[in-house]
Amino acid sequence: MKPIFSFELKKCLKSKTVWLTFILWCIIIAFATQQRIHTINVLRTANDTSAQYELRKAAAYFTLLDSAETGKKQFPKYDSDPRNPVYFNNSLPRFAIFPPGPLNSFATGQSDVMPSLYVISRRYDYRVQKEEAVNGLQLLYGKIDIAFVIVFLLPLVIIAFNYNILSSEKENGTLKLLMVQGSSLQQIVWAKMLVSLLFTLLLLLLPVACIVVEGIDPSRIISALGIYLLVALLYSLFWHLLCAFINRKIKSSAYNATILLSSWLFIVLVLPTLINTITEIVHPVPSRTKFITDYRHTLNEMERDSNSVILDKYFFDHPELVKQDTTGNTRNRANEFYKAIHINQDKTQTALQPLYVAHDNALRSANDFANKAGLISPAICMQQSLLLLAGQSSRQYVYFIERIDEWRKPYLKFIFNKLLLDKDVSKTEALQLKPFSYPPYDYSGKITLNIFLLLLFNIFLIIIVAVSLKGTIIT
Amino acid sequence: MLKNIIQKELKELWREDRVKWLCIIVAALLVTSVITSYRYNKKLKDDHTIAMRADREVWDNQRPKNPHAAAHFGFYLFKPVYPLSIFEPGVDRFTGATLFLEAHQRNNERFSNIADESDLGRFGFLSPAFILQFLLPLLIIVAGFNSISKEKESGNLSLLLSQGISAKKMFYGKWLSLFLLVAAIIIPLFIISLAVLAVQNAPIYNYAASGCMMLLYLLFYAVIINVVVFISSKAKQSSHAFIYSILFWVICCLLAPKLVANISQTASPLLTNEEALNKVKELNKGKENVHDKSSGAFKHLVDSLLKKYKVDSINQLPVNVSGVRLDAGEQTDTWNNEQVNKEQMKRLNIQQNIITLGSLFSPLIPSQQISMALANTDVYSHHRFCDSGERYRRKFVNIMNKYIAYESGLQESYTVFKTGDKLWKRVPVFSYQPPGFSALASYGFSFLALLLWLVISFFVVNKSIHQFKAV
Repeated sequence: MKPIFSFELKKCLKSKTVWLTFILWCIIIAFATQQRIHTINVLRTANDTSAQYELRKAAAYFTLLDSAETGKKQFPKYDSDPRNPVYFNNSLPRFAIFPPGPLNSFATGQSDVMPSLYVISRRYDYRVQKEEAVNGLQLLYGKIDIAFVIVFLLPLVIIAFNYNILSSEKENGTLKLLMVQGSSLQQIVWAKMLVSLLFTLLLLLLPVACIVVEGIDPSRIISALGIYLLVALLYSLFWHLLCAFINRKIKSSAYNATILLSSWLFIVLVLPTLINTITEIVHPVPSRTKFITDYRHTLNEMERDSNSVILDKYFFDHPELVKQDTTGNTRNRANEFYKAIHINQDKTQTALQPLYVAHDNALRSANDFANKAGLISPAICMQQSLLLLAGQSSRQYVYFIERIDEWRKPYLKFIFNKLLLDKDVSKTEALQLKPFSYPPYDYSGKITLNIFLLLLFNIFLIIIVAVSLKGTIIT
Repeated sequence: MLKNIIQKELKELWREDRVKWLCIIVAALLVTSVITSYRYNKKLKDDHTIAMRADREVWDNQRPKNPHAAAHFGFYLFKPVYPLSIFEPGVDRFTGATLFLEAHQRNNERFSNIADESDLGRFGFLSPAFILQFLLPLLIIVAGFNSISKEKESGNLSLLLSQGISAKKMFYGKWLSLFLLVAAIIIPLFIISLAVLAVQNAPIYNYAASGCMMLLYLLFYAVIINVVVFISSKAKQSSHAFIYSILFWVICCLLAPKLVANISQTASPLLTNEEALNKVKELNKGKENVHDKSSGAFKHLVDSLLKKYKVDSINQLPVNVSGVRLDAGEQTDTWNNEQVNKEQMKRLNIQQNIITLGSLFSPLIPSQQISMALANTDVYSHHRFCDSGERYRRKFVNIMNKYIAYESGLQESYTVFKTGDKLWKRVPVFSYQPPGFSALASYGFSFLALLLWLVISFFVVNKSIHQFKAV
């Protein structure tokens, strides 16, 4: 085996095609990394600006609250008194920023369609918040990112180098020569595959090198990088074994190439679309159209007789239009009005809650179904692992939104109770309301499952290849 | 002679297992995709029709309230689902399906299907367009990669040429047999599409557009056949021809579209909501807000009203000042929205132009663009719908504001004043008709690019024929 290995290694190092592939690979990976990191930075800057703005607002608010509590400043109008819970709600909205995963620079995932910053306040229903403008064609085409290059293009590279590992020897007449010299078919196949795997490992290390060049410290994400290398190596091993499997019968190289590319097409392109289509029939995602219809219906039903929910929203934006007491006693009159609004909003939100829960559950179970069905394709296993490591899988967004829901509840309740009990907000209490943070999504189970399945695919193929190579007789 | 060659070629193609099986698989996938796509579309269309009607009902049955509050309650519009989107779903899954209309502001569309999909969503969905654009070119490659190279390898080529059969005839025989192969798939699909359109009672435009789509795809395949035959005539071995053809396919169908998507995004990012808001702030800078009662603009408005109706005080006015104020404010808002939208469309156009430039590397991009435009599922169709939503928004907000101003007959602040369903019913029902073939006007360059591909690829193939004359 050793002489074949060293011969193949030398051949590989001297091959122009190998070097050309390597250079093209470098260019694509560098481009993909640069583009992705650029996008991440643009988004981060935008989010940071919004966060800074909110933090400045909060700092200003606390200064004001300090001066009110120490009596340094008098607030004749309760409207502008920082201790007023209404004022507190208006000047201290909370925000939640989606925390990307360690390998964010590897995959775009859902980041191009999902908002990454939510501002939470009693004023907004973040479920129907504004969406950013998108160009549908860009989304349809998708981005070149590391995930795309590894899931789609790496198998093609592997096929291009391995589609003829045995057939070429046969076609050149060197197969018999090797056999005569005492090498078995197995030895030839494993030795050649080992060289190709080493080359693949080099290709897989390039994205890591690229993010280091772009200024990301690899030591902080070392475990994620380790998992990435493991999954990607298993994925490349799968394609190598598939090449060996097709080569086992030693047919013509053209035949092998056709079969291997058809397999690629099937596993990477057709199977996922078929699974999507089947999911759509068996377990479709809940209709947003129906969601909006129900939402609107509930809003309409919940309208108070005296005033409407939507008008309340308007008054929040235009507090100067709220009617004030003729005696100038704004404290009571204005807050009575807000009390009514908050009670109404609370009622509306309670009425909407079953709708949200039903929609979320249906969405989660539809997504789970698709993701589980997807595990029958190694390409989807690979893509899912990368998305999970990048923190950009749809599951992580659903999890994030559920955490927002949980986190904002005590905050909303705090304001609501203060308002109804006619109590002032104090600094100590306000500081007790924690900023958004949550236990990170635990993806270890899901990735372990992906690794396990990829291992299974590989073991299955190894056994078949080993057995059938032993039984093959060269005529 | 040509007939004989074609007959022989087709027979040979059919005898090849890989071609036969791939043809069967593609045909089976096409039938499946038409069925599932039809099903999806029907559900979507029903959903949207029901939702449109339900939202209108909600609007009509609002409790008595202030007209401006009603304008804030607003409308939800649902994007119409067109018959041809069964065959070419285009960007519809990726753009928001609904549009929320309300007073003061123009919203972006909301709730795209893709945001709700699982991680597999990005792999795409089985649709006739997916098969026509991705798999049929592969079928051509599998059937045609060795069309010339195998004749060279087996020595048949010199034999044929020495017997006086012109290389041109042989080439065109092979070319036409490949073309007939795809035509045998496309033409039945066209007939199916006519049947599907008939079942849906589709407007006449769709039948014509479906015919155009068929011609478009035939042109696209002609380009692909040219490229494949050219590669086959140049390659030293069949297996090389195969690999180069696949490389061409990967660049044409996978890499080029993604590359232009990346570049267009970096070169001309769309305005974010935050930026749009800042732009409005900038536009308002130095201008007084008529919404603000203490502003000079408001005083000016009141003065002009007093002058117009020749009275001395607000209380004597026959119109409601707050209504007139709302109307004036809405006009400013609309103008601001218009400016933001102009900037947005400018950026979008740059993106689209960059994507169209990708046509130079991939014949798929122009074909796909035109195909989407024919099916009303392209980016511009989407924006035409949004624009018509914006016009409707202005119309209904205007009805609300004008009512407060001129018909309420009140002098109080409008916020306490209420009205009932007669006013709600005055708002016309939203309807939108796509423009038909004039929608293609935005795709002049795509047409040109496709024609260029066709002409140049024919020219190159012709040249490679001459190369064999010398043998």
